[in-house]
Order: sequence, then C-alpha cells, then structure tokens
Amino acid sequence: MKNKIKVLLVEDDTTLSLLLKFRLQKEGYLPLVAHDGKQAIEIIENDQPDLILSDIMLPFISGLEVISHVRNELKLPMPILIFSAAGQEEMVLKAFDLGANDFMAKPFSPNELMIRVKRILQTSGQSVLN
Amino acid sequence: MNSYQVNYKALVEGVNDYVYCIDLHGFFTFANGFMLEALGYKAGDMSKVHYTDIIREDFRESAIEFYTDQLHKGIDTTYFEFATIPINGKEQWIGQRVVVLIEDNELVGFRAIARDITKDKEVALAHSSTTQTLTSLLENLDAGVMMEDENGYITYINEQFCKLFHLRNSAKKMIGKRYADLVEKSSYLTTEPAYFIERVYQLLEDKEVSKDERVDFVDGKVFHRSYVPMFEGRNFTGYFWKYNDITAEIQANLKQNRLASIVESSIDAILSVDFEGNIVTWNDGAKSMFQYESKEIVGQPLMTIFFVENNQRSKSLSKLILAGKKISSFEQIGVKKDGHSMPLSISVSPIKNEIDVIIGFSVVASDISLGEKLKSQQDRFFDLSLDLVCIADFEGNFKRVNPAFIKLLQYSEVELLNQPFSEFVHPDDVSKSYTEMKRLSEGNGLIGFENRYICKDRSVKWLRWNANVDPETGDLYCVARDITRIKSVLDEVDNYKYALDQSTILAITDSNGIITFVNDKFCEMSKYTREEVIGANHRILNSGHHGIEFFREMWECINSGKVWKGEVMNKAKDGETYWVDTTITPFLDEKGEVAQFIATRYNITQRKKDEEDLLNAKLYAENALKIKDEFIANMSHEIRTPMNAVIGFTDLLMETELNETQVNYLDTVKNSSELLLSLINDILDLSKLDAGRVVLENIPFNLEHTLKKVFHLMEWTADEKGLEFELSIDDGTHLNFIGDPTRLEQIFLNLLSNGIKFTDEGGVYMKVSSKYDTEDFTSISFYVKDTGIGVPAEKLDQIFDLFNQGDQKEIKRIVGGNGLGLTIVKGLTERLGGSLKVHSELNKGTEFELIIPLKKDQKIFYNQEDESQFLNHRRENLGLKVLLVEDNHVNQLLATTRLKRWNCEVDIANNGKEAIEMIREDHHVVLMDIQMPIMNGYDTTVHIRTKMSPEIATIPIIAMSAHASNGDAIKAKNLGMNDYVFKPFKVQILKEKLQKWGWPRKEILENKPQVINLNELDGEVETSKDVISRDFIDLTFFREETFGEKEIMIAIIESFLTEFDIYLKNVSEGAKMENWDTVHAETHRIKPSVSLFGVQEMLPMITDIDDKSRNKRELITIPDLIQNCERIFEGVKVELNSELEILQA
Repeated sequence: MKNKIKVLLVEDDTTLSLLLKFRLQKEGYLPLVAHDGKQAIEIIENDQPDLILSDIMLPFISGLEVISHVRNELKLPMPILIFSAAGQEEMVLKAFDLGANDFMAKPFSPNELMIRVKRILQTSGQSVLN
Repeated sequence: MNSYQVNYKALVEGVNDYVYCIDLHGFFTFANGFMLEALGYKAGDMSKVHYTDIIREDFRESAIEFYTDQLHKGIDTTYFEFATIPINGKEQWIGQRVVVLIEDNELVGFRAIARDITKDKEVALAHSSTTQTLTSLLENLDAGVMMEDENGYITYINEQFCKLFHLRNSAKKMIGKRYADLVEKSSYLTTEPAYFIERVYQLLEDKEVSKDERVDFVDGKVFHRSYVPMFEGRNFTGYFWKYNDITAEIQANLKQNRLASIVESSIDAILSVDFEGNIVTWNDGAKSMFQYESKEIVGQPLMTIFFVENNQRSKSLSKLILAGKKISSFEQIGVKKDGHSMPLSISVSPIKNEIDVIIGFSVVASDISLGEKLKSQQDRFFDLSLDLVCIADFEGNFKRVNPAFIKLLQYSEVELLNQPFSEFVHPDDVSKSYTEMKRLSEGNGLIGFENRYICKDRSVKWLRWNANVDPETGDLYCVARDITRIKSVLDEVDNYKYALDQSTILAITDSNGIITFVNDKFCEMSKYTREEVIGANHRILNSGHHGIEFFREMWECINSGKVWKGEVMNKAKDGETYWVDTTITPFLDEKGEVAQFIATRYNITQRKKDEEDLLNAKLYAENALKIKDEFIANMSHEIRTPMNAVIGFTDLLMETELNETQVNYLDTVKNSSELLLSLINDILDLSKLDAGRVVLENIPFNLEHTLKKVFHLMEWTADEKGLEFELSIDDGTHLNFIGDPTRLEQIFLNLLSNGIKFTDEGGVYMKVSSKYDTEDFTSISFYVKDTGIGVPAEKLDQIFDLFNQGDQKEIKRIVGGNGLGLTIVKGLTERLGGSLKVHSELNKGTEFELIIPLKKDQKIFYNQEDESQFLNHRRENLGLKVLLVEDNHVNQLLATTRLKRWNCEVDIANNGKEAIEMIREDHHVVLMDIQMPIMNGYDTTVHIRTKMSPEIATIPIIAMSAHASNGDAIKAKNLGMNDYVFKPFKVQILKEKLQKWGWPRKEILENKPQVINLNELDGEVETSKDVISRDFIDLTFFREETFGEKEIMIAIIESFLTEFDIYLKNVSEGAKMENWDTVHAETHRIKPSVSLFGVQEMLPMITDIDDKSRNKRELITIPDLIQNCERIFEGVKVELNSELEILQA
C-alpha cells in the first residue's frame, strides 16, 4: 500500500474532481487533488507525484504555468496529461512544447482517461504493481 | 698583328693612364679600358662622344683654342690640363700630353696620353691658397703681429710690429732672433714698463689664450694685445702675438661722448660749416635726413645738401648770414643724397672765435615735409575712401564730394557741387532727412541715419550716415556707407521672419527643454509673454492630453539626435488647448551631443476640430444609417403583423354572405392591403440591397417553372386590362439551374407588373433565350417588351432611381405604384451578376433586356409535375389535427378561423413551452411561430426533435415568420423544421403546405394506430423501472462511470447541485458586469458536469455560452441563455433531488 502510485489531479470543478478521484482510487492509485495551479505546485514540490493530470484553464496559475514550472524549474520528468476544451487547440500545442505528454479533450469519458493513465504509466516505466 | 703590336696593345690597356685617339672633328676613335672605367663610359659609346663632352664647361673654350692652336702652329707635342665633367659622380683633373697623328703625310687626328692629376691639383691649390691668404692677411692686418717657436725664436714678424716697438731692424732681419731679448728693451715704451714685462712673462708661462688686453703707450697711443699659444696636437709649437691700435676709436669715443648730449639725440640735422661754406661737422640727424655718411660729406660745400635759388630772397638771406645775423625758421629746400628734395626749416647762427671773428656757421635744419605729408594724406584718404564722404554747407548744398560718392550716385562732381542734397534723396525720405539735418546743425552728432538716394540711372541706394557739424563754419561733414545690399538681405530676412511668424510657432530650447528663444507666433498662441517663457521649461505647455509614454518616446527620439514629428495638444496660459503639428529638430554641439532643440509647430487646432467633426459626422451618419436599417426592418416586421390580420380577415369576410357593394368594398380593401404589403416588402428588399445584405440561395430550380409561376400570378392583372401577355422560351434553352429562384421571381414580378402597369393597349411580351453557353454556365437573355406609354429618352437613365417613374404626376395618378420596382430589379440583377439594358420610345413602349448568368444543374431532374400538382390541387377540406404555436392573439384567431374553414382541429399553444406540454402523437402537423417569448420556435423545435418520443419527434413542423428572409428559412430547416411560410401568408400557399406535410402523416396514423400503443406501453415499462420520469437528466453515463456505487453517486450529485448554484450565481454576476472572461471560465468549468448528468437540453446552451463568451460575440444573447439554463436547472434539481432520495433510502 505504501508503494501506491501518486497521481496528482488538478481540476477546479469539484464535481468532476470528485468523480475522477473516485475512479483513480478504484484503479488503485493514490490520488492527490488540487483545485488550482497554486495548490498543484505545492503538492508537486512536497509529494513529487508519479503522474500529473491537469486542466489547462485553472484559477491563479494556469496549467501551462504548472507544466513550465515542473519542467523548467523543478526539472521533474514525471508524465503530464492535460485536459483541454474545444477552442483551446493552440494552448494544447503550447502545452506540448512545454513538455506535456498527452491530452484529452473535455468533456471526456473517465473510462478512457483511466486507460490512458495506465498506458502513460507503463510507457514511463511505472505500473500499478510497483 | 705582329708581336710589337701585341705588346703595344697590352701596354696601352695595362697602364693606369688614359690612352686615346680623336679624329679631326674631335670625336673619340679610341679609348683604353682605364679611361673608359674612370670616366664611366662603355667602349661602344665612346665613338659618339666629342672630346669637349668630357671637359668641364669653363675649360672648353681654352681646350678648343689649345687644339686649334696646336694644329695651326703644327706643334708636335703639347701639354694641357683641364677638369672633366663628372660622369660617375666625381670630377677629375686631367693632365694630357697630345701628339698629332699623321698618316700618309696627312693629319688625321690626335693621340693623347693623359693622367688623373686631381689629387696633385687639390694639394697644390690648397697649399697655395692657404699661404696666400695667410700672407696677405698678416701683411694687410692693421695690427702688429709676431710669432715665435717653442724655443722663443721669432718665426714671423710684420712691419707694424717692428714700428710699434721701435725696432731698428727690418722685419725680415728680426726672424730667428729671440723675442725675450726684446721685451725688456722695449718695455719703456709703455706707461707701466714693470707690469708690461711681468705680464708678458706670465703669459709665456701660462700658455693660455688672452684677448684684447689694453696696453697704453707713452706717446698716447692705446693698443689691444692678444696672445695665442699654438699647438700641434698636444705639442706646443710657439706663440702668436698681436697688437691692435685702438687709439682712434678711443678718441672718437671721447668726442662722441661730448657731442652726443647736445647733437646726436636731435632728430634735426645739426651741422657746422667753415667760413667758406664747407661742412665741418655732421650729426646723426643730418645723416638720416640727407642720407650722407659723415665722412662722405665733411669737407663738402653746403650747397651739396641745399638747393639755393638764385633769387632776391636767397641773396638777402646770404647777406644777413654773412653779416653775423642769426636767422631762424626760413624755408629752404634740402636735397638728399638720392636726389630727392624736401622742404626744410633752417636756422643759422654764426660761430665766432675768441676775437669775435666769424669762422663758420652752425646750421640746424628740421624737415617740415611731415606736416605737408599729413595734409596730403588727408586728401588721399578723402579720395581713396570706399565710404561716401561729403561736405555740405548749412543749407545742405554739397561743397565737396569724394570719388566714391560720385561713383555711387553716377553724377559728375559738377552736377553735384552746389546742389542741395534733397535733389538726390528719395522723395519719401526728404522730409526726414531735413529733420535730421536740422538736428545736426543744432550741434547733435548724427549716427546711423538711413535714407535712400536716387542715382542717375534711377536706381535706389540705401545709405547709412554718420555726420558732424563744424561749429565755426556750420559746414556738415558727412560719411555714408552703401547699405543697399544689407538692406535687401535684411528685408529678405524680415520677409522670411514675417512669413515664419505668420504661420510657424517657433521655439528653441536647450537640451533640458528650457526655452531659450520663442517667436511672436509662439507668444500669440501660448498667450505667454516672451519674458514669461524664456528660461521656463517647455513643459508649461503640456496639456496633459498625452500620456507619459508619448513624451518618453518623443524624448528618446530627439535625444538620439533624430528629428521627431507628431501632433501635440498644447495648453495656453489661459488653459485653452490647441493642437500643433510639431517638428522637433535636435542640434548637436561639436562633441556630437544634443545641445538644443528647435521646435517648429503649425497650428492645426482647426484641422483637428474639423477631423473630429468629420469623424463625429461620420459616426452620426453611420449610426443614423444603422438606425434607419433597423427601423425599416423592425417597421416592416411590425406592419406585417397587423397587415396579416387585415388581409386574412378580409379573405374570411369575403367568404361570408355579402351583397355586391360589400364585395366591391372588400375587394378594394384587399387590393390596397396587398399593395401596401408589397410596398413594405419592397422597402425591406431595398434596405437589404442597400446594405448588401441580400443573401443568395443556391438551390436547384427549373427556370420554365419559375417563369410560369410568375406569369400565372400576373395573368389575372393583364387579363383585366385586356392586354396580351405572352411568354416564349427558345427551344433548346437549358432550364435546370442551381441558384436563387426567389430572386428571379422577384425580378420578373417587378418587371412584368411594371410593364402591365404602364401599358393600356397591346400587351407585355417576354422572350427567353440562351445568350452564351459554356459547360457550367449559361447566360440567359430575358427580353421584356411592352407597348405602353414609354419613357422620354432624357429620363431613361433615371428610371432605376428611387421613387422615379418619369416624375410625371399624371402618369403616377393613372397607373399607381410605388416606384421601387425597377430599383429592386436593377439591384437584384446586379447582385446576381447580370446586366440590364433598357430602350424606350415615348408612347410606343419600353424594352428591357436582362442578361443573367446561371449555373447549370445537370444532375438533378427537376420534377415539375410534383410542384404543379400541389399548385393546382385545390381542396377545401383538409381535415388535419393542427397544433398552432403562436403568441399573438390576433394571429391565433386568424389562423384558427382559416384552419377551421378547412375542417381542421386546432390546438393553440401560446409559446414553445406550452407547445412541448401540449404536443401529442396524434397531431398531424405543427404550425409554429419563430419569435415567441419564454421559448422560441427554434428551441422548441430542437426540443421536440431531440427530447421527445419518436412519434412526437417526427411530427412535421411548419415555421411561420414575419422575418421575410431566406436565412431564417434555412436556419429553420437546419434545426429540423420541415417547411416555412412567411407572414402574412397567402391562403393558397398555406393550404398547400399544410396539405403537403399534414396528409402523409394523417394517412400513417390512420393506418397504423397500434404502433403508437406499443410505443406507449414500452414507455410505461421504462418509466416504472426508473420510478420517476426524467425529462431533464440522463443518468446512464453517470451510473456507468460511478460503477453504481451509491456513496460516490450521492457525493457527486450533492457536489453538482452546490456547484451549479454557484455557477449560476457567478455567470449571472459576470454577465451583468460584462465580465465575459469570468463567464467563460465558469462555463468551461461546469461543462463536463452538465454532460456527466446528461442534461441534454442545457448542453447546447452551455456550449453556446462557452463559445460566445470566449469569442466575445453575440454577448447580448448570453443573459437569455443563462436564464434558460437556470430554468432547466430547476427541473434538473427536482430530478436529482429525487434521485438522491432514492439513493439515500
């Protein structure tokens, strides 16, 4: 149990984050939840999650800034998956430039998200069993 | 060559002498190697060399003479020395022996052997010249000289030395004697013999140079003695003694001393003569005056230096002088040594001896030419002055003028003298000149007075005068200078300045912006005085209109040395602002740093105001235009609604029992209403054409059908007027096209009705043919001819203008019409890419030809039969169950009455929401207004089509709208409506549409009633499973995602209910504050949850809000959308709460 994979979920909508947190727990991950970019950075610095799932549009500090901070300041290599919405195509491109690994367009199916999470973690060398 | 010759040759070449031969002409025939080398020639060159070429120039003549001599005298052998021309840089002396060459008793040339004697020559020369120089020097020396060797024996002594020391032997005999023997013997000749001996011995002992020691001899003579010991290298070789006689000098000094104080300091010539008149003494003054040295003139007669005229005056003077009288200051001409004479003032006094006998005279002469010179210099000054100088009497008459004056005025001296100056002064300047002259004669100096003179050639010259008056004579002494050129330059500068001051605001500031200069215009504009602004910072003009950034950029620009241009609003002292077009030019000092700024500005306040006015006017006009457009659109819409009622009820009324009069009245009402309606439609079309807002359709159509439809509509009118009305279409004309048939109909309706309107006899004919044909397009020619009243040629080009139908009131009265038709025809034709031509003859008729390109439709076969079936199918009894969705009660009543006449059952819904509640599976067709409160026709349609049971969702919906635009029709169709009727609708069209859409469904329903029942049963099963009906939410997806786990479902539902309340609060607030970014962020956030709960009705609205707030478009619709969401959320809330209850149970 101590070796659970830590997944940081950054989502400002409580409802959605509740659901995703629930799903992450169900999949056997340890979800860490942040509702804005500021909290996200604190958690990243303190807990060093194995995966980050983040919305692009966030209060205070945007998802792009979070990615930039992780990659350029903290120089951490963990995979990052971002959520985007219609009309945010350019932001997605920017996010990839900054070092994001994957993205999903909102609204998305939590099922699909869980599949993607699993795959990302596998390719980055992590897995549930570790 | 025999051995002798060989030896000879070797000898010749081997010796270090020149061996050469020359011919009789003097050219070399042979020179040996040594010679060639020494003179720097090459062997081959020598034959071209003449013997004189190697002889130094000054010897040539004598060389030629020498050889000539030798030849003439037949001397065999001669010797001659000469210097050569330096050929290789050094001059050589040659000594040559020359032998004449005789062959066969004939003289053929010379042979010579020569030797370089340069060294010998130099030594000999040096020796002889040194000896000569020394000897002559010593012999001629005005001094006693003696030399002795190191042992004291005399080696040289001159005669003077012998004389000096009274030696009995001659100089020659003294050589070889010991000088020391002489010293003591001759010492008695000196004034101090003991010292003399002692000193000589000391000098011999010390062997040091001693110069000019004074030795006094008893006979009064004085000598300077010099002693020089002689050395060769370090070896002492003897002494040199020299005694210089300086007696004369010492005596001269004494004499000078005495005279100096009296005579020599005088610049006058002071001299004395003896009684014979010969000069005895001569001072420096005399020397410089007459240029004679003392020794030249002493002893000469006085007449040498004076020119004495042989006249009475001279004789009497001589008498007086000789009589011993003192004569002073008489004038006498003196003559200098160079022959120049000078006026002298002479004083003569007799010199007498002790017995009072005159032995001579002293003469003192002073040069008085200096005074005269001064006078003539003034004259010259007067003549040569470049300034104009004149003397005038107290009345202003010229007494004297200088050449410069004459030259400038071009009048001769004669013309000027004794003439008053006013004759020559510019008439405008005469009076002020007299005023100045008056002031002048009162004793005031005149400085810098300027007036104009007119020259002889009538040119005008500006003169600047300085003048003074001689108080004794009253004469005016005036000097003037020609300042015409300066004046013109100044005038020019003044003109520039004036011009500049008229328009340009000029200021100069230092590098800190402190004002150092401003022009008048600056003061005028800024309302500051010059004193107030000089020294102030230019900021005092800052109006505050421009931001800091503006000035920062300006300073950056000018501080970098670049010229800045811009428009600036400045503030005057009184607070008034003005606009200036400013150019600031930085001026750099010698270090390249900005030293000052020159700001030139033009007042553009008026321009700015004009610009602003123009802008305002433009905005106003645009606004007015926009208001006009909106007004027209709204008005036509507003008018249509009541018109709908008028026409509709008129139709209904006509179908009741009426007498003939009533029918006639109602006909008139109906015709008028329809006319009014068409007018409104025309206005609307026009406003759209004006605004370029006509959107063209691209639908397949059949041209023949379209045209027949138009003819069908117009036929009745033409019939009524008894006119022929014919349509002919050329065989083979392509008829199926893709385009906008509605617009074509509009064009031809207007064109044909226009023709019918203006034709009383004959007819209106239309001929259609293909003009140009390509694979994809055909240009169709539509030719319309009437036999009407026609249009006068001069009015022809006006008929397409608004409200212009030949502007004859008579015509208008007879035929009616609104005058918009042709304008619309033209506008639409052009919009369709076509062209229009018109030809008309008064009282004969009018011809129009329209050529319109149309896109061919080759694929689709247009089913003409279908359409005409509907058109011609008239059946009174429709028998449909209709749901009428209409908010306007008048329209409700009209439509209801009309539908009931057709045996229809009508259910009335007042808005979309009611419609959704009321709609049933057994409705055959829905007639739905688009614009409605609460829920509009579009939204209602979407709801019916997407949210309701399949039976309901498939009911045909016909839109009704007063918005007579195709855009609306297209939108309606896209949203799932089946057809579209414009209000007010033509009865026939409405009937056809109802028939078209209602009957098929009626048939299906009547034939398959059980299907509906089955569906209803299924629905009941579904409902019972879910316990409650859910109109707003769909939890299928939610259940899947939460794996049906109650706890998380409860948590998520509770969260959503809270979140959505917050969402609504935030977006309402954001929309109110027009903070669209907040609206967007919030909507973006909530969107996934809305889809999570399957709130299908709300999802498009949320998407809409998201999209509009992000792109900042159609923001005005957002509050409505939020309101709709709020309304839907009420339903969602109810359903979610009941879901919660179930979950928690």
